[in-house]
Amino acid sequence: MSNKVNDKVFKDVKPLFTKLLNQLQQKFGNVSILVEKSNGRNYRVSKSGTVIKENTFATCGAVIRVANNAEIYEYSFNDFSSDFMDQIPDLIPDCYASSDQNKIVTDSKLTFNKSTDYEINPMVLDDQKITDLLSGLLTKALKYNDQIIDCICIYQYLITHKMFLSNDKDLEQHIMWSTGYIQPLDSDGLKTHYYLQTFSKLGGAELLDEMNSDFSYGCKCAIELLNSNPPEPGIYDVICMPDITGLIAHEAFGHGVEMDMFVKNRALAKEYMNKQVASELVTMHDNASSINECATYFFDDEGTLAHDTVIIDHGILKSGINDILSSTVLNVEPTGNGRRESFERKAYTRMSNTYFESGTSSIDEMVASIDHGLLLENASNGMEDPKNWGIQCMATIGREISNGKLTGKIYSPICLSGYVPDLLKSISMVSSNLELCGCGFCGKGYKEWVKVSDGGAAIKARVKIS
Amino acid sequence: MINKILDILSENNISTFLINEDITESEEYFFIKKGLNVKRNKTVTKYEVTVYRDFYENDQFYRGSSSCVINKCMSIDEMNHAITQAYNAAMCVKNPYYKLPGGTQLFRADDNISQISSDSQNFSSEQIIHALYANDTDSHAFINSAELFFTLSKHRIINSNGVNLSFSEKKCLGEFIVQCTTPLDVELYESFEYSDLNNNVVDSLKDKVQNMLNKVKDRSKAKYLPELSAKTIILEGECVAELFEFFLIRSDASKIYPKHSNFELNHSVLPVNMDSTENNEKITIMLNPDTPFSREGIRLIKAPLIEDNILKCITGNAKFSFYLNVNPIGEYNRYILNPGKTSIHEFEKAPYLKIVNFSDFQMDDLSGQFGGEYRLAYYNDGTQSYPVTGGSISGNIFDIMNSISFSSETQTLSHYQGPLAIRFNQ
Repeated sequence: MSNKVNDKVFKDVKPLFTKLLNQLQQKFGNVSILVEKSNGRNYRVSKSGTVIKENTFATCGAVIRVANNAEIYEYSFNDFSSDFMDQIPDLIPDCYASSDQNKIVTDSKLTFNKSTDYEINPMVLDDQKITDLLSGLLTKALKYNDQIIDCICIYQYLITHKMFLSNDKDLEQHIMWSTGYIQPLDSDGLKTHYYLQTFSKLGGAELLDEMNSDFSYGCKCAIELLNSNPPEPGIYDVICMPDITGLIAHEAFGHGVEMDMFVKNRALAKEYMNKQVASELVTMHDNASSINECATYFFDDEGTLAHDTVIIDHGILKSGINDILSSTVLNVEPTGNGRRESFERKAYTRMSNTYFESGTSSIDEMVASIDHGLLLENASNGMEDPKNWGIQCMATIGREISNGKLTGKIYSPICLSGYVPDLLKSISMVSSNLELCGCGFCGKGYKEWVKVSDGGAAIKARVKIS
Repeated sequence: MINKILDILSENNISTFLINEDITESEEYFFIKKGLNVKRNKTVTKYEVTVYRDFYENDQFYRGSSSCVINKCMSIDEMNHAITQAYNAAMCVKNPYYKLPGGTQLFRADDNISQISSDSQNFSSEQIIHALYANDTDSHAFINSAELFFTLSKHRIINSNGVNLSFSEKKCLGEFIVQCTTPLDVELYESFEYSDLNNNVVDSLKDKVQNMLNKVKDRSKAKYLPELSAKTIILEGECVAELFEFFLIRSDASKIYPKHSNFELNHSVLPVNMDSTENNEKITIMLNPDTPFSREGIRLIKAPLIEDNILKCITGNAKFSFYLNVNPIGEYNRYILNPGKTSIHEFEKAPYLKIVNFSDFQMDDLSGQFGGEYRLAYYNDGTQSYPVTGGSISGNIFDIMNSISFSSETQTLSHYQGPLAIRFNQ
C-alpha cells in the first residue's frame, strides 16, 4: 500500500521564514530562502558488530541568497531562534543591497507542497527487525562459503524536507529514499577481495525485502574474484551491463554537459551542441521529474522545477543541464539541476537520474556477437574530464567472452579509459532492458556530494582496458 | 544547548553518553578567473550525541550504542525524540562490552586545551587570495577558476566518564583549476589545505600555483599516447600519499579486528618473501595528528606506527582497541613516511615513465589494488624525455614492494609528509 511522506514539517517554522523573507526584501534584491530538514538512519551489520547511527546527510538549517548586479551572496545558518533571525538582515554586507540590474531569472509565481510515496515507513519500523534482517544476511553469507570472511550489510534511508521561498515561489517537497548494500569479503591470505551488491529505491523499508530475496549473487561473485587477475591491457569489444553504462553516461556526458562548466569555459561540449557525439543508437536523459529513483525531486535547491532533459538524442548532443546562475549567464532555459550537498554548501549544476534509453538487442545476442572480449559489471567509481573528454571508469568484474560465449573466466579489476566520443561512437548494440541504481553519490571534483542515480541499458562498445 | 542535552539525557535516565559539539564559522569565495562570482558565509552549530546502553542477553554482556545529530534549530521535543530514539536503537546493537575513554590516567575531566588557533594570524583571507593569484601572469596559462574556504571550528567533547575537552582549529581549504590555451586547450586540477600547523603558507601556495601552471603548459604540448608502457615507473606527487595511506588504514583496529587486515603488532606489514630481501626499501611511518584529540576524546600522539616494516602500534577507537586488548590511541588520517636516499634525478637515469598527474588515482585499501588514467606524465625512451597524456597504469601494492624506492626529495601535503616520488618496476 502506498503512503505519502509527511508534508507538515514546516508548519511551525514557515511564519518565521516568511517574516524573514519580507524583512530581507526591504533591503536586498533577488532574495530567496531554502530551508532544509532531513532525517534518516544508517544500519550496518558485519563481523565487526552492529552500528545504528544518523544518516550522514541528515541535516537541518537554511540558506539565504541575495544578489546585486555583480555577485551572489549566501548565508547559511541553523539557529532558528527569533533573536538570531532578527539579526540576519544586518549580517549581510550592505554591498549586496537591492539593485534592479541583472536579476536572477525566475519562473512565474508558483505554490505547491508535494511528497513522494513509500510502502513501509522505516521510522516506525522496529530497529530490531531491521538489524535482525541484516544479521540474517550476514549469517547466510558466512555459510555460503568458508572463504567468505565477512559480509558488510547496510540499509539506510533519508527523508528530505525542503521549503523554498522567494518573491514568486512558495514550494515544499518531501522525499524518501532507501539504499542497501551487501558486501561479501574473502581473502587469499594477503589480498582481500569483495563484491558490492547494491539496492536502491525512491521509497522506504520495503527495500529490505528485495535485499533478502537477492543476496547470493554477491557471494558467488566474491568467490569468483579469488581466482581473478587484471586483464592484459588493450582494446576490447565489451558489453557494459547497465551499472557500467550508467557510470559511463554519468562521467561522459553527465559531467560533460554541466553548464556551470560552460560558463568557466571548462567543457568541450559547449562547442559540440547539435553535433554528433555518439552512435545514433544513443539517447541519453537527465531526468529528475519522471523516473522513480533516489535523485528524483519536484524542484531543485534554487526553486527551479525538475525537468526531463534529453542530453543526447540519437547520437546528437541536444542540451546541457544547468543551475539558475549558469542558465542566466548563458541565456538558456533553466533545467532544474541547481543542487547543494546541504544548506551549508553552494549550489552547482548537478545531475539527477542520468541514463541511456533502452534499445532492441538481448544480452545473449550481444554476447554472441563478440569473438574476443569482456562483459563488464559492478561499477565502482569513475572520473570525468569535461575539458578534454577523457574518461576513466572502474569495474570490479570483466567476464571473458570467446567465440560468442562466456568462458567462465573472470578478470579484476578493470580500468576502462579513453576519449569519450570514441567510446560513445563505438556503441553498436543496446539492450532492451532499462535499469537504474541510486546507491551512489556524485562529487563535483572531489567534494560536494549529492545523491544521484544512473543506469540505462546494456551496451556493446569498443574500449581501452587496463 | 549542551545543558539542554544534558537535561534530556538525565530526564531519560541515560547515564552513559558522549557529546561532540562542533561550531563552524566559514568565509567562502568562488572565483571565475580573477573575478569574484559568489561569496558565502556560514555559522552552524551541531551536536553529535552518542548514547550507550549496557545489557545482558543469553548470558552475554553487551554494550549497545547509537547516535543522533542535534541541530541548533531543533525544538526541545525534537531533541528529546532524537535522543530517546537513539537510546531505543542502542538496545538492538549487540556489540560485546568495551570500555569508554575516561576514568584512567589517559583522560582527565579538567583537561582543557586553550583556544590554540582562533586568534592565530598565521594567514588571512586577503593574504591567501593574493598568494593564489601572485603568479597568475601569463595570458595563455592561467587560473581558470578557484574556490577558497576559510573555516574556524570550535570543538568540545564531553562524555559521562569525565572527559571534558575543547579545542579550536583554523583552516584554509581550496581548489583551483589551471588552464593553458595553446597549443592545445587543456586544464589541471589542484587542491590544498593549510592549518595553523603549517608554516610559510603564503609561499607554499605561490609555489603550488606556479608548479601547476608549469604542468598545465606541459600537458598542453603532451603527446596523446594511450598505449604507452614502460618497465620503470616513477609516481610523483599526491598519489604517493594516497598509495601509502594503505598502511595507515590497515593498521587500524577496525580493520584488524574483523580480519580485513592481516597486520599484527610487532610483525612485518609485508609478506615474508618481500620482507626478506636485503635491498628492499623499508617502510617507516610516524603518526602525525592534526587535532589534539579524537572524536571520543582520546589524546592523539605523534608516535611511530611502522618502523622498518614492523608494526609498532595499532591505531583505533575505544571499542576495537578494547576488543584487540591494545591501548586506545585514537584514529589518524595524517602521517609521515620516511624518505629514501635516492634523488629523483637518479631515478631518471634509465628509461622511465614518470606520472605526475592522474585523472583520479584510486587505491583500494582492502585489495591493495591501485591505478588510474594519467593526465600528465613524462616518458623517457633512453635518449629524450617528453610529456605524454592519456595512458593508464594499474598494479597491486604488494606486487611493487619488491622493487620500490623512495625519493630523497620530500613533499608536505595536508595529511602527509614524505617522499615526493617513488620508483618501481612493472
